[in-house]
Amino acid sequence: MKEVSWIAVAFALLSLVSPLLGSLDSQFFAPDFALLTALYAGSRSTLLSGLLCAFVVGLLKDGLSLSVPVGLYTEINVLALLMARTLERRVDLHSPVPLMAAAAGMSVGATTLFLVLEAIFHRSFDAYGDVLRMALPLALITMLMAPVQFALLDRITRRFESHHRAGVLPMRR
Amino acid sequence: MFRDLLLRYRQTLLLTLALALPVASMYYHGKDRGETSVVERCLLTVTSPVVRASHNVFEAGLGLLRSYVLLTDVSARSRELEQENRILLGEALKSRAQSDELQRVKRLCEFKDARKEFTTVPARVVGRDVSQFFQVMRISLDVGTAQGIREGQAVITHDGIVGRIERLTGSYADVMLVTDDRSQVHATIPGKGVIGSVRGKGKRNEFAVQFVYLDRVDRTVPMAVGDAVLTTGHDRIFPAGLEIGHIAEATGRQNGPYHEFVLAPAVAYATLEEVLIVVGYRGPDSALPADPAQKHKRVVDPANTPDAPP
Repeated sequence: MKEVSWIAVAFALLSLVSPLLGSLDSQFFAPDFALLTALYAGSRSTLLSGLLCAFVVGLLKDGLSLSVPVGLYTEINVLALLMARTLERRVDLHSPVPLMAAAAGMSVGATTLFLVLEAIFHRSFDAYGDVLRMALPLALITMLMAPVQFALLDRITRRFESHHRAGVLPMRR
Repeated sequence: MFRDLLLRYRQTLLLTLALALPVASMYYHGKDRGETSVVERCLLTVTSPVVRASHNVFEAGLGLLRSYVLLTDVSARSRELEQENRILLGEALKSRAQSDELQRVKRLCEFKDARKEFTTVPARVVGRDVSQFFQVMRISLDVGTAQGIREGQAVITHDGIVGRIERLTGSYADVMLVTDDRSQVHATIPGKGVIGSVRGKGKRNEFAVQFVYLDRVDRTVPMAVGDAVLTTGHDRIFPAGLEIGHIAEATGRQNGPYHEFVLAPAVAYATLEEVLIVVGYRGPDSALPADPAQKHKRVVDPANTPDAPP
C-alpha cells in the first residue's frame, strides 16, 4: 500500500511541475521526481515492491512526455532502482549530504543513459546538444529536491507503518 | 517442477521482465509510425485528466493569488482600463465634435436650400480677434479672391447676419462684424412699422451691440424684449429678411428724432465655425449681381454708409 502512495505522490508532483514551471517559463528546470522516487524505493523497499513502483512511475513519466519512445523513462527508472539498492549497502542514504550526492550522480547517469537510448531507439531525435547542456542544471535541481521529496515520502511511509502497528491496516505476510 | 522453478527464480524473472519490456517498447515506439499505439492511448487516458486537473487547479490558485493577494493583475488591468478609457474619451469627444459640426453644416445647407434667391460660398472661421473683455471684435475666414470673394460682400449664417468682408489677404478674408462701430445695417422690425439702422458701438471697453438706433414711424406700438430685428435689403449689401438680432431691453432712449434700443446679436460670434458669403443675390429688389463674375459698380445709399452722421 505504501508503494501505491509513493506512486501517487510521484504522479502528482510530475503533473504539477509542468504548469508551475510553464508559468515561470522554466520548463527545462524540472527536478527528476521519477528518478528520486526510484532512488527512494530502492533504499526503503523490497526488490519486487520497489521494482513495481519504479516501473509504474517510469511508465507514467513516459505517458507525460510522449515525445520520447514509451519505455525509455521506465528503463531508466528500473536501472536507477537497481543502482539505488547497490548504493544503499555502501552509502547512508538517510543523511542529506550523501543523498544529495547520490541524487546528483544518478541524475547525470540518467541523462547519459537517456542520450544513449535515444540514439539507439529514436531515429528522429536531434536535440542532443540541448539535453547535454541541461544535464548539469538538471542534476543540481534534482540534488536540491532530493531531501525534500525523501522527507515527504518518509512522512507517508511512517503514517502507513503507524497504521500497521495500530492494526488499522492488515499486516503484510 | 516448473512451478518450483518459477518460485525460486521469481525475482530474477521479474527483474528481467522489468528490463526487457521497456526495451521492446522502445524498439516498437522508436520507429516512425503514423498512428498512436494501444499503449500510448492507455497512457494518455490515464495521464491527461490528471494533468488537466492539476493545470486547472494551478491556474485557479495562481489567479486567486494574483487577484486577491498580490493584486498584480488587478493593478495592470486597472492601468490598461485607464489607458483605454482615455483613448475612448478622446474618441468620444472627437466624435461629438464631428457630430456638432455635421449638425451645423446641415443647418447651413438647409438654410441655403431654403433661400435660393442668393448665391453663397461657404467658409470656415479660422481666427478670432478677441478684446480684453473676451468679446469677439473681428473674425477671419479661410477664403480669398480665388473663390470669387470681394470686399464688401455680406457674411451670413442660418441664425442671421455676421458682418461684411472688410479685407482680403491672400487666401484669407477679414470680416467686419455687425457689432463693429463702423458697421451700419438697414433694419426693420416686422409688425412694428419701424425702420432704421443697426449700428455697432464697438468700444473697446464695452460690448459692441449695446445700442441700436431706430427711426420709429409709429411710436404707439411698444417694443418688446425678443422682437426680431431683420434686414430690409435696402442697403444692397445684406439680403432682406435676415435676422440681425433681437430687442434686449424694451425701454429705449431717445436721441433727437431717433429712439435707441439695446440689441442682442442673433449670431454667437464666440462659437461661430462655418459661415456663408453672399456672392450673388437674385431677389426682387436685387441690387447685387446674380452672376458673381459680372462686373458691377455697387450703388450705395450715402445715408446708410458707416460714415454717415447719425
